[in-house]
Amino acid sequence: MKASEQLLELARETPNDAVKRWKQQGKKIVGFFCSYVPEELVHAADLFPFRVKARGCTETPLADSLMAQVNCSFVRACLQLALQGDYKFLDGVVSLNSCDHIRRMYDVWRYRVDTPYHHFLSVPHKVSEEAVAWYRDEVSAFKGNLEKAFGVDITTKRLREAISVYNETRRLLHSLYDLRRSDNPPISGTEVHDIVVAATAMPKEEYNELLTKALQEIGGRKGISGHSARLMVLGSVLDDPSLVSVVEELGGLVVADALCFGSRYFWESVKEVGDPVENLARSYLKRPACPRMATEHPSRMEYIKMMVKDFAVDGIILERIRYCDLWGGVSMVLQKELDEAGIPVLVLDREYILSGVGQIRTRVQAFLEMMG
Amino acid sequence: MVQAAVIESVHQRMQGILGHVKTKYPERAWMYEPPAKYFELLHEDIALGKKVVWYFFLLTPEIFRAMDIATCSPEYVAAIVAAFPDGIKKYVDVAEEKVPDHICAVNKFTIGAILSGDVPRPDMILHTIGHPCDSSSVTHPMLANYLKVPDFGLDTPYWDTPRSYKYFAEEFARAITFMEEQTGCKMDFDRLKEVAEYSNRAQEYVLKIAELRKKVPCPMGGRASAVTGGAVMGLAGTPFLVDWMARQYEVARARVERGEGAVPNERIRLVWIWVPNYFDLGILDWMEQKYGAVCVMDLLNHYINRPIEGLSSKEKILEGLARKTLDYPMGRHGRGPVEPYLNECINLCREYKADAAVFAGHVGCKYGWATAKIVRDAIHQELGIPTLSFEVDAFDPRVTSLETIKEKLAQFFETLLL
Repeated sequence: MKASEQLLELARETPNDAVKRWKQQGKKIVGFFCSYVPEELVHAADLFPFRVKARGCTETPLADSLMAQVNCSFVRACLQLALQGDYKFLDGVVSLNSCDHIRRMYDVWRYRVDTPYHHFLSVPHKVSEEAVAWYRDEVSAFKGNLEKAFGVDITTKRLREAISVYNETRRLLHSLYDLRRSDNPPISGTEVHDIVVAATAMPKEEYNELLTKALQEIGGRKGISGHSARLMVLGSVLDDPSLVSVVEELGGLVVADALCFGSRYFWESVKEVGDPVENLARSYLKRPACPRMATEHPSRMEYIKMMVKDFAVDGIILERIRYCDLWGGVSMVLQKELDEAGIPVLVLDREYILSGVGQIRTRVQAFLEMMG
Repeated sequence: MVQAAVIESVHQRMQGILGHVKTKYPERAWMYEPPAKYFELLHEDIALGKKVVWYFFLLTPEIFRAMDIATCSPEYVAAIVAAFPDGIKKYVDVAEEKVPDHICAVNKFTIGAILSGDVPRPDMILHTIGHPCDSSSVTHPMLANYLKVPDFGLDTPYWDTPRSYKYFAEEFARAITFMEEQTGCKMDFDRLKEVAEYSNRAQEYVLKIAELRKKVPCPMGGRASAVTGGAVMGLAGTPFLVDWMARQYEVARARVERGEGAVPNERIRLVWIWVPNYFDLGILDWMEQKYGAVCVMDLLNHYINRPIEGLSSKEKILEGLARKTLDYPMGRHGRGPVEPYLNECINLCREYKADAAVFAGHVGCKYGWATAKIVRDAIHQELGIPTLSFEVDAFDPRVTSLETIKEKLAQFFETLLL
């Protein structure tokens, strides 16, 4: 099987082969719920950080009995998988105050899912020197907590090595995204999406090796042509490329994104010299901002506009999971400013388990036609 | 002068309502005094041309009074307008053209009022982030961007620890500096001390009344608790609030001494564990009159903060006000782990000798709903009492009508409690 195909498969399944191989070695896995968790710490503890997602969930009866309809369907789907035992392979979970839904799902998880280790990071909602100092202490406390809970010593050397491995992942993913800048990218948005998801679902050394090979394979492909528009996707958490796939089936080509399972996951590197704990805190806090960083609207817009320019984007799809107040709340200003910048935007409200595909297809089709 | 439709209209209406109630139902007039006073002060300040700062209602307002700034909490305005016959529908509908319908109604009110041009453009916006919810955290900075006015977001940590209190107190101090820079209004610390003294005196009454409400029968009705929360939130630091609380305390104290309850035949004691029904607080009167069911305490009007100590030091006052903000109901229940909320629900039900709890789940409060089941189970497990849960929009009766709410309560009382 080609390296790129292996990556796609690893993204799709939970637990995947990487998880099974890791567990067979008698090693432990820590799940995390949000891209603001500094995975390098977990990696440096010789644990496997696995981002909790809900791929494959088709219904949520168990989660619905504990949470409510006004809670986002992604969170309920994650909880459903945990309640039905799909996340038994996790030896711990780490969460943070990402959004109302995730932080409360973590509460429910603590009460109703039998995962041995829990940790919660209080991540500031703004970028300032004081916030960086706060988060540095949080990251430091997390380090101490991991060391105590798993009986490991996260030395500065090991942490620096982990940062270096993760920066290599970031560099490789940038190379992957660079391939999308051309008029005829050799890779679809659907594939790229899964390749990024795979980065959160397997040990990074293994991932880097596979991605290096995959880049060679993909670089040798013939470019995609005949697409009617180059698109960017941004919005709520998207761990499944079904939506991207629908867009591409209709003739669009997704060439960029501002997603937490996309470019926002890897765009900024972590400094490798100096205090690694502080470097992690600073870098994670300053990464391209999710709307949880409520005062970071200007930098968020700057990032989106940069992506539009650098990837020659013709239009944006803003996808919002219903009840996501973060993306729902910012969309008014976001749309206004994109309109003012002459960038067409389609706002799509959706549920996590992609229903109403027919309606989505109709709206995307109209959007593509509108852009000519 | 910056006057605008909503503020002026509410001011006029509140004056009219207060005058009417004083004439027709003088014994109930005291409940209408705080909102009338709030809008009277705001109207006067705007007329005087003072700088206008919007602030999120979970920020305690004393600092603005000490800076001579006209302050308006859009959430407070929404709660008052929601109770008028025409409610906040117009503004919610306007907002829903631009933001999803699941955004909290008080935020939609603000968005709609701005888009309609019916509220004064502020000179700046002061708000919290992560205290308590996503909807409020994003609405204020988004509106600041929309209006192109400066804003300051006070970042709120998740945990309640000494480190959190210190971080937030420093945020509080930075917010004041930012306000001074943006408005040109300076903090007058002599005035702040005076304001904090008023605030403390009022809070002492709040705490004493909360104690008296534990008595059986409960000396004050549910509506008194609901309006007290609004009064504290809007008028802390004013002599008006001290006087108003003192009068309420005297009524409660006298009733306790006489062994009298707020209702002649108290049959059911309830603790309301989420947002009161602001679009019609009359539901509380209805429960009392028809079933003898008294809301003896409601969680979101349960102000627990101790009076600020060390009023001779400006640092101590600011630390105290920062802590008071963190201790505000809903904020302290919402921003962190579920346990403080869960434990307080259990403790209130126990201490206030409740027969049941009511979770009127406001649809805008996703974080409240997310753990409703856990809280309901824990209350039953610890105390053996039931919790009635139902979905409402506390500000918009189009989600669940008053009649439907009454039906749910009636069925609950008749089936389980009587």
